[in-house]
Amino acid sequence: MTLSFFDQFMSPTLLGIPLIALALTLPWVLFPQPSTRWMNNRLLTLQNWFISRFTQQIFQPINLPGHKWALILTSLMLFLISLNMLGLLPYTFTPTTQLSLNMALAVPLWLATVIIGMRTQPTHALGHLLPEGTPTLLIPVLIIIETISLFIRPLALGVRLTANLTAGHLLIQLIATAAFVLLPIMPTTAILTSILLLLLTLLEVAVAMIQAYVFVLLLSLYLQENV
Amino acid sequence: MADVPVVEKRLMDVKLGELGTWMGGRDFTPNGLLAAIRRGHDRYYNKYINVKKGGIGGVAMLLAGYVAISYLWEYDHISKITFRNHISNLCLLLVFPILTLISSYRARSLEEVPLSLSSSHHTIGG
Repeated sequence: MTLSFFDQFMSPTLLGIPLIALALTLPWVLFPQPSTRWMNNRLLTLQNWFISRFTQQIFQPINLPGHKWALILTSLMLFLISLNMLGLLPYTFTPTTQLSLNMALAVPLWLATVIIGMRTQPTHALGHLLPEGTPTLLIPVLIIIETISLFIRPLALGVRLTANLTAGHLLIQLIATAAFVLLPIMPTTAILTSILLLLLTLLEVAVAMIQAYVFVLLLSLYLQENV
Repeated sequence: MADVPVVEKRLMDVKLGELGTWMGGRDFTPNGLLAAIRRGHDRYYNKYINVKKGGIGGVAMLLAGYVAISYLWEYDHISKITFRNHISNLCLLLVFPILTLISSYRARSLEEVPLSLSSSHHTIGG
């Protein structure tokens, strides 16, 4: 019985095409291209507002060379937020629950920030490995620790996103099952469980948005250090 | 009615007997398929989303269609699950079509003016 709860994370195939292919291309349809008009339709206006607010927010603390990353980070944010939110619809598949996808997003982008740092300002980038004001005896230990923390960043980025979304989906399924199993037996408990389910769904909506934001924010922080 | 070649008629205008000819003449190359998808997308977009007072209906119908397609895609897998687990998915499924139907009905009854290129004849002078 427990195994069947994890089946939602397997990408089912129809005629050999996995559902993940549809799930990955759907965000493309939801963000239409602006026309040459002065004022676009409401959907585009809302999206434009969101994109400009978000870009301003993320790139304010970053200096000028980092602004080259505006396009990729903003499009990454839109991609993640739409994938996460679409996964909350019934019967849909969330590609970001797959660790492979999240690592594929995290590792190249993190590595790019590190390589940029090492190439343009190697001293400054290496200087991040040792915080200011550490006692002399602690220096070797701290350098090892900081190196480990540097290399764990892509792992943390990918796993954080995967774990949050997977755990959320699993919780929803478990609590929903509990609520409906309890309904004929103990109606009051079932109602309480349903209220819990409603709150959990709201939380999941929030988590979906927050996790996408955190991913991009941390990447921008790594960029800020290195550029 | 002018004599339009069978291949270029739209699907609803093709008579049943002409269906074979129509299917044979259509462009099923990847470029042709992409062009067809692009045409379909533009028709939907200009009818439901690119309008003066667009509401949630345009996007909601698209998402409802996506949910329906996902259900069909997973039917093999879902039919093996017992009824109890199925209910929890079904309940969430009820909210969505109702919301979509209400919003798409409302969108039609408001004065929807599709933004077409020919309607922007107003010059700055008045």
